[in-house]
Amino acid sequence: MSRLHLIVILIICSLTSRAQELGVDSVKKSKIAYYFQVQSGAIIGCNSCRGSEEIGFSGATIHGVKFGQKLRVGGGIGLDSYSYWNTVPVFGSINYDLIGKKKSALFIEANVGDALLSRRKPIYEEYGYKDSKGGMMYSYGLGYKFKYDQMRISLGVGRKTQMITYYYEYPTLVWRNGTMVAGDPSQKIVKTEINRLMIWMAVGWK
Amino acid sequence: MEKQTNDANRILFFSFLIIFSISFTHCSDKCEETYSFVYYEPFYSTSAELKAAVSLVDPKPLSDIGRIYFKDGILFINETGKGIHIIDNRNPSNPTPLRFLNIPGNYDLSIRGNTLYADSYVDLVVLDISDLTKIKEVNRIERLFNNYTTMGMLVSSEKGILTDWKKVETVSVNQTECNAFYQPWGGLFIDSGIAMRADMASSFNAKTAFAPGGGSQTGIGGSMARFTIQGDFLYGLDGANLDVVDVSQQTQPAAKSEVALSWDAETLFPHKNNLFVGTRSGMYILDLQTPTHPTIISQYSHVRSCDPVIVEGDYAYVTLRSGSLCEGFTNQLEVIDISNLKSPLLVKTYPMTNPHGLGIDQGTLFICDGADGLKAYDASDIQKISDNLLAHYKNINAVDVIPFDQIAMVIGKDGLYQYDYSDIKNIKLISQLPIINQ
Repeated sequence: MSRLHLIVILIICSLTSRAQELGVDSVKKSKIAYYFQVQSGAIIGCNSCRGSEEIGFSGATIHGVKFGQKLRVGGGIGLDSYSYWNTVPVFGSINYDLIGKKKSALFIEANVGDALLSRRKPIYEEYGYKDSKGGMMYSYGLGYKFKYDQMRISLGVGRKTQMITYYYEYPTLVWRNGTMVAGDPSQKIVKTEINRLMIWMAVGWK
Repeated sequence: MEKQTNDANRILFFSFLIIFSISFTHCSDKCEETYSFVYYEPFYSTSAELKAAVSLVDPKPLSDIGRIYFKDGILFINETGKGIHIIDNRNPSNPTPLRFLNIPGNYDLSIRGNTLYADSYVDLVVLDISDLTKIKEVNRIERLFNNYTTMGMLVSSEKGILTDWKKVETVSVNQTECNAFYQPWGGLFIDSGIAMRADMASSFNAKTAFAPGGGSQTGIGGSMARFTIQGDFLYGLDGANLDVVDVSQQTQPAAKSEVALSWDAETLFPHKNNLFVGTRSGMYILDLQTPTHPTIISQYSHVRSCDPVIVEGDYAYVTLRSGSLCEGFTNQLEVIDISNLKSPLLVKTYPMTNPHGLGIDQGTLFICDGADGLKAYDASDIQKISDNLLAHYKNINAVDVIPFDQIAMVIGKDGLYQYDYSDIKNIKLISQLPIINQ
């Protein structure tokens, strides 16, 4: 996670923590409520950036607790579709309304979690490919939401980063006792950080 | 009013922060590649260092065993590249380790009288074994073997003899463009002091070694041997060549000639006044009428495979096996009529599992069939060898055998096994010395 991203997420979290303190009155005033949202959108970026930008699908559902009027904390599960991989991130989510009224609000959101991985295309399963694993996922963004009855509709833009690690092994031969046998393999580990611009729309409750 | 100002500032701040972070960090992939690979650096020894390393030490457990040789109740078992285990086998039911003879770069041996000849990388070492507790080097023919280069055994006038490859592990971390997934090399790997590139394996002629001997003063070697003593001459496969060394003066051997043979020659077996050479493409029969200049009488060809050869009477027995080094897909025993040496004739083939070494003693044929164990056949009727299986021991991974005086001494991948075949209908295991991998 780069320093800039870390700073952004920490600021969002510290702000929402402060909001939690500030919101004690609000909590006292109103009950803690369940909230959820379902979102889908696009993740835009490129693999090597030698070709054109690639656009993938991103969807998730988040369920959690709403504290007062502005703060939401929850957990979610999603599905992201990159050029060569599908990932299933499981993450924690924090969302805070910066400014808003009952009908609409401008909010910030940060998500951090880990993702399972599944293959879409076999392009990286080249010679020596052994395994691949998903890893940390984090995202943050800014959005606008408005209420329609009990429903909440929001639009957002942000940045998402997904870590994927590839493992490769290359066989070697050892001359032992008159026979060529398998020796210690050489190994290659490729840690890939996939960075994408994220645009989403969500529909939620509360 | 003040609250609205604070909210506006907050919005502006976070909008700016997020837009900034998105805009100024490129939405593309970043890759970090960590390579962990091993390579081997050449390690050279001087002749003086190799000479100094020859020594007799206390016995140690069998490990990584190679060729075997038997003489006068003593078993000599080569430990690949390290030296020779000396075992008192006068009581085969209780073999007793006596000493270990350190000889760096040793892969086989042969004995005439009280003189043991062993290879030490490119040298032929001559040792006096009249007293097994005080074996000492008495002579050495330096750089007799020229074809170690096929095994990566280079000789440098400045650095000495390449005797080992030191394993070096390296780790490198690179930041790359994520489309730079490229194929690394496959690797060159070495163990026990011998190395080659994978693409050289097919032309590799393995280690110079020693073979069963003929003549009253010599002992008996296994069928996988590559050296043998016949009469007053020691013959050794040296890559594609056959080296001839005069050992009539036992402690004063003299290199006589080097005869071009075949790049894939593997084993030697002396019979009467002939030398049978097992190669991966067939069997050569050499005439030793002029001992210093063996000549090829005939060649019997077969499919490519590893193939030790033994001879008894008018028949040669050849096992063909497949494997990474041996190539091919054939695993069988071939019986060849050699009554006419100029025209060897295949008589019969028998399917096997993965036959390695073999031995024969008065019609009792022993075949080391790899993971399928040791098989003993009555070979008196060559047309019905497979019908006359005397015993089958599946519990060993047999590699080579010396049948002598009712005792079959078998080298397996996990130790030395000895079988009493005085009653061929009741062949029984009488002792075992296990290999302890160190």
